[in-house]
Amino acid sequence: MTKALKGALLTLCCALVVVPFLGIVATSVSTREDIVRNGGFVLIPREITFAAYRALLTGGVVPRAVGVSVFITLVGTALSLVATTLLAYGLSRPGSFGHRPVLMLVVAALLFTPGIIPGYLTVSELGLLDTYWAVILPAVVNAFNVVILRAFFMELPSELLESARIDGASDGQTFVRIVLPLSKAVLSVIGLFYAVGYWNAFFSALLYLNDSAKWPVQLVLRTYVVNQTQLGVDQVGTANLPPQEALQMAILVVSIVPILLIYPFVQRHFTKGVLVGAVKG
Amino acid sequence: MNPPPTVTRRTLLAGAAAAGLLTACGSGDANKNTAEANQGVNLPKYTPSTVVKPDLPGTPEGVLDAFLTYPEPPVKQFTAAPGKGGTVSAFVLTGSPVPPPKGNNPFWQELDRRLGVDLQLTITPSGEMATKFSTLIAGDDLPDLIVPALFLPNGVPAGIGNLPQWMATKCTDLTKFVGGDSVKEYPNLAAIPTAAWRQCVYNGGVYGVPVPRGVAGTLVFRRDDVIGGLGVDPDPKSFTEFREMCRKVTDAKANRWACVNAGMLVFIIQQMLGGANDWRWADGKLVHQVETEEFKKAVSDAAAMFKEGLVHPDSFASNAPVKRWFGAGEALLIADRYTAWPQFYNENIAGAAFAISPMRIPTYDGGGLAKVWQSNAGSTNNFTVFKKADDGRIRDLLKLCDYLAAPFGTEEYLFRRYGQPGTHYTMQNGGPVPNQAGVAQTALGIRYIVDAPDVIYIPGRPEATKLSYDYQKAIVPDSVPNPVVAGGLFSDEWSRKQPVLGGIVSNGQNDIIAGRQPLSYVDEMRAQWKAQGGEQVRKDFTAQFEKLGIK
Repeated sequence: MTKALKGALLTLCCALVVVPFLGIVATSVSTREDIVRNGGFVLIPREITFAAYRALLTGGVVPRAVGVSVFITLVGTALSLVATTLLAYGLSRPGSFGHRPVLMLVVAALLFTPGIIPGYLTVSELGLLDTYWAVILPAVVNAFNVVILRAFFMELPSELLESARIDGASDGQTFVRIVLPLSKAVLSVIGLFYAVGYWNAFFSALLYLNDSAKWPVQLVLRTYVVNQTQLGVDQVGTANLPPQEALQMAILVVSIVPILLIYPFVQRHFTKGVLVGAVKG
Repeated sequence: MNPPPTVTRRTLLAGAAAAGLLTACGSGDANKNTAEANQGVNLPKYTPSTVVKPDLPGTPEGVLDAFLTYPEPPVKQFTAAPGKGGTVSAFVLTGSPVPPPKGNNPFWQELDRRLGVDLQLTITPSGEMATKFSTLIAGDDLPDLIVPALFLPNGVPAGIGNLPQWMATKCTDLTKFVGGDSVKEYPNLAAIPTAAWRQCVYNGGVYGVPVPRGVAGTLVFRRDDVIGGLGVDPDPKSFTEFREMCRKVTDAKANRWACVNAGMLVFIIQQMLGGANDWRWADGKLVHQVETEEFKKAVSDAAAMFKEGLVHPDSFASNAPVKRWFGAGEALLIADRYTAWPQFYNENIAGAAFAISPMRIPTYDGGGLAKVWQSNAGSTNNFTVFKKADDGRIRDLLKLCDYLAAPFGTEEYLFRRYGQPGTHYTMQNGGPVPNQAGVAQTALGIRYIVDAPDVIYIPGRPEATKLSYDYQKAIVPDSVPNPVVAGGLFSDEWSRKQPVLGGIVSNGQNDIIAGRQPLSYVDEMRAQWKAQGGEQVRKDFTAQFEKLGIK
């Protein structure tokens, strides 16, 4: 294959990824006229307006929802990492207490997920309804991540752990001083999995959060994107409001950008992290 | 045109879950929702409101009152708050972006002050209604007021099987509070037309307060400015002339087509042929639209017109932006509800030249105008049920509803819809024009708890208001209702299976029009429709028609 062909192919692939995103950003800053002329999706706006962003950010709903999502993501990811790491490490050590039954439980959770109603009743009985914990706690341990992490821990050379023990380290010390520093790559990847999951939390928030003040950004986003009209059934004379498409695209930008910012920092661990542990299941 | 109901995996699951639960909670009252019981219900006595005089008066058959400008100054109807303090909770839906929470929402705070209660709202996006409602039932921690279901375009509550049984167990029969003359205690509720109340009748009682809508449903809007500019006669006298008109205005090179989609053609042509509005009840036989020859003929003609290129080529895409095409002049005919009128004015780029009007549909072979179908959802957008409570509490809640149903032209209506002058809107050209804060803060969904009778009012466009009114006055007297909706019938099977049955019809119709299936596929559709529940629905409804003695 010639270089030129490779270049063209790569450019095409890049364009496939970049053009839609560019369109989202461009449409979000377009005027109604541009949007209607371009059939709803603008690539090069003739005139730039930030009216859609102003409309989104002045209402107070979206900034608040972003705050809620950031909180849920940070706290949830931290809790998830702690719980998953501890569980996976315990399960990776042969002979640990309740090893088999707990492992079976984890595998069962992988195979069977609770239905909407049982999940709701459990959350409700625990008194978690209308709290952020309702979104965080049911998702705090993901069985898939436990299995990956456990496989990684099992691959660690047992000589390392034995030498730590000979040097007098307790189980806790071994875990914190030896195992965790060796697991940075896999932890950052699993952390990213969790973070993306929490950031995208939509369905659990819909079910468990009645108070719309507590809604995370994805749920708020959905009310903007899915509803065809800005004002519901009865439209009124509102010629000076930003067009619906610009609003939809602006909120997409608002919801994508924060999680996109994390990627570059985690990416260097990504390939290694996923492969490590994947080959030995 | 009413969009076909879509069913996703999630709504299906949620619907099934809700259905299961509802079965469990309502088994003891399974036979209360009978045709006999519902026939003799003491409906609220209709007393039209005299608080505000419309510019153009409506008629008892269903033509809506029309207002050329918002009455100035607005009439103040209430001198005291209807509530006595305490909290009122409600489960409502919204079709708008979620509003700011109460702490940040001056409109909501002012609403609380005016209502005299602390209004706690569980606001649910309308697309997620079925899921959220099923969890609400599962949790059994019901709010005071509940919007239990959306009405599908077929006029029955959607996705919730055994709804009547659930209502019998958990909700209040309002008949003794609002039946007959009792409703006079709540004059704004008394002004809601009887047809709307009829759709709240279950288990032999009035189980909800309605959000009324006009019976004039979907109409065909036409871009007069563009069609006139092309020198084409916009008033065809027969199907042949209609097709000719479509040919003349279509120019694919200029990115311009006659129709936004083929679905509207099936809708129009069936009316030209005198087809069934969803169902036809004649000579003791109930026939569904898909089984009629008019349907087959309409699909055949629509397919031919699509093949000829008279329809926007991208219209089969889900969520095709049909309104935008119409606004941009890419398509010149669109079927939509009368409520869409103001939106077309707001969202076009033709400027002052923009002109639209409703097209009168001719009969197929010429010689007169076709009878127009009434709204398929009947006279009600949805209704709201009341959690079981003592009589005093129910009366308090009804007073609140009375306030929330203050008619157009009152100060209360203006506040409820638009907020406070200056803060949320300004008056321009005889109408309120909301600002961004107004749009965001007022979208609480309270308009789906209960509402005043609809009116025709296009802010700042008195000439359009008059057009809309004249159109309704012309078509309503001999318009064709959906007999199932008009009879106030309910079938669990219909409620549950409607998405599936509707899917068979709309998918099959699209397949034929797009050329993926031959016209003979209609027979296959009919067979599927019957086998997958249609026959059972027919049995259910037929029995009710016979019991009710409807000819």
